[in-house]
Amino acid sequence: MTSSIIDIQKVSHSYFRDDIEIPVLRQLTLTIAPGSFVALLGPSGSGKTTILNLMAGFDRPMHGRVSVNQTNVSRLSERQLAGWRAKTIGFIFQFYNLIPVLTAAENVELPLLLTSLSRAQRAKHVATALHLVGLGNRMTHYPRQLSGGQEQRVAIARAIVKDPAILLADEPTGNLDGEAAEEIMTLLQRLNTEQGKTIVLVTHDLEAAQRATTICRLQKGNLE
Amino acid sequence: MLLRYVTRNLTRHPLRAALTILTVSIIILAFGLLRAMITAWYGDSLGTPPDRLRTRHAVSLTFQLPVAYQQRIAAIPGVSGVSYGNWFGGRWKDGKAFFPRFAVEPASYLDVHPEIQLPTSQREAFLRDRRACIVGKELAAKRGWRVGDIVRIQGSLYPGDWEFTIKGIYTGTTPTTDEGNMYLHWAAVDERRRIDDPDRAGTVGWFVVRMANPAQAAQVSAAIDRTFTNSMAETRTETEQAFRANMIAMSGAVIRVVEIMSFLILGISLLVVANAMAMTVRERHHEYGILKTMGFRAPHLGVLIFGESVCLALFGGSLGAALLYPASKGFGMFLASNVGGMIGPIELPVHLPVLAVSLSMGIGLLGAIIPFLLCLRSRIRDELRHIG
Repeated sequence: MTSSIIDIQKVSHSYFRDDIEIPVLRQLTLTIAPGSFVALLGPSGSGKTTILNLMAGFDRPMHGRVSVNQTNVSRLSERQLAGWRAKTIGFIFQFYNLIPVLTAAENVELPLLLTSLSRAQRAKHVATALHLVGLGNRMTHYPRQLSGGQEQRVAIARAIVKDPAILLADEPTGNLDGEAAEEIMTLLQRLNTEQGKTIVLVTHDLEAAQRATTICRLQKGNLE
Repeated sequence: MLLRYVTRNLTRHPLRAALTILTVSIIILAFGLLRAMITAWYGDSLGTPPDRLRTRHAVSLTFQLPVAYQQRIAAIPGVSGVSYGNWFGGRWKDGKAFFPRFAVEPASYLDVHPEIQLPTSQREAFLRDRRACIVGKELAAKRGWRVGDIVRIQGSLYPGDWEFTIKGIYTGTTPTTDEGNMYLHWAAVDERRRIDDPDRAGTVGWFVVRMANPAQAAQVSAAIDRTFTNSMAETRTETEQAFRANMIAMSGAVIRVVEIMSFLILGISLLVVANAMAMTVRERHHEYGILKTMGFRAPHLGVLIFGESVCLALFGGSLGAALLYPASKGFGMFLASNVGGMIGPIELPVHLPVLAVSLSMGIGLLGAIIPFLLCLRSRIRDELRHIG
């Protein structure tokens, strides 16, 4: 039995621009325990988002192994990855990435379309998720009718509606003012402490990172 | 829910969607009109009665047959009536306004063509006067002619100036009866030919043979042709339907071009839809990436991309099909005034709007293939476009 929910072992990864190799991660090892709130802190280009991409299976490591929830992510096919991702991981992005033509409730309902839940059951889940983020009264609002902070809260509701074990948040406060950013970090903390979600937060904002239980500082593709 | 997403996506760029729909509708309309024209062209031969045969020179229609063949054909078992006719040609006014003119033996011709209907008094007046002619109702309406008017024709095959008095205006009893023709007396033109061109006098372009039993068409045709085997003017007899089809085949290249054109414009429609969808998918690149992070796979993305493409094309196709009805009437009038009796009346076949809508659905599906493949091929990492 392993005590980690995310286990990254000696991972190296590079990107190629034309024929030039740009190393991003070098022999990086990182383990994250279930229920922890980990902030990956570092400057641009340090490899924060690459780690997130590897955890989610968007990318496969060139060397090393990435296991998430006891699944070796790099060995899954694209089809298997899609199914695994839908069950295991919720994403929160910097720019919210809500679908502009769908209401808040419809945006939150999207991940549930991949389940066998009935329409009524889906509606119940959506209402619960939106109430949890404090937007039970904005269900029929379109993204353009919401503030930035509210949009991000809808995005968080969308990420948690299927009750995934892990939330991956990529600069979730990067596009918000101080007050809204504070609200979002409080919400993430609550999800971690009250719902037991494992959260990996990528940020270059020290203040935001300090809300996490563990801070991992990245520098030039490795942990400091 | 996904379908709701598809329908809302349609309204994200109203101008682009409207222009795409309009373009597809115009193309489907053009396709429908071209197909209707081709059908009308062939329909002219399909609408002919099954109990009539045409006998012409075995070599070509341009060669003439002796009028004396009439008696011998009439004597063949199974033949219940024989008439004959010739292409009169000539020019009316400046020659720009064309309408077919035939020199026929009037009494027998009207007998074997019961679909040409004339009031009894007009029929008798036409039969009595060798300088008389009859014209179709459509032709008379178009030229503003009435009974008693004189039509002046400048001869070509039958040189000289000709004057014919309209003694009757006929109507057709079937939709395929051409009401754009003019019929005059063969005897009158042959009379002058005896003076001007005696070698070609007493000849006709074709015989029209009416059979007692249409089922005997093959036997009667063979019997007629056998009668004139080894003569100076051997014959070729076929059903009127086949005869007209052969006439149409002489215009085969033109019809073929029209047919090719009708399918080429469908290709243009396909490119229009594909281009609109490629733009849409490129713009929503990021959005599809987000859906993929949630676990959406090819079938779900397919519903979104193909659904939108098919909706656009179907709206356009349906609009084009709906416009086909009023447009075909105007197009029919345009053709009637420009190509006269060369083409049957434009009638929209029942299956054509259904075909147009089905084709537009196919265009929608095909147009989305490349954008869909591009969407599938792109990686989530690139779609999210953020490397830290």
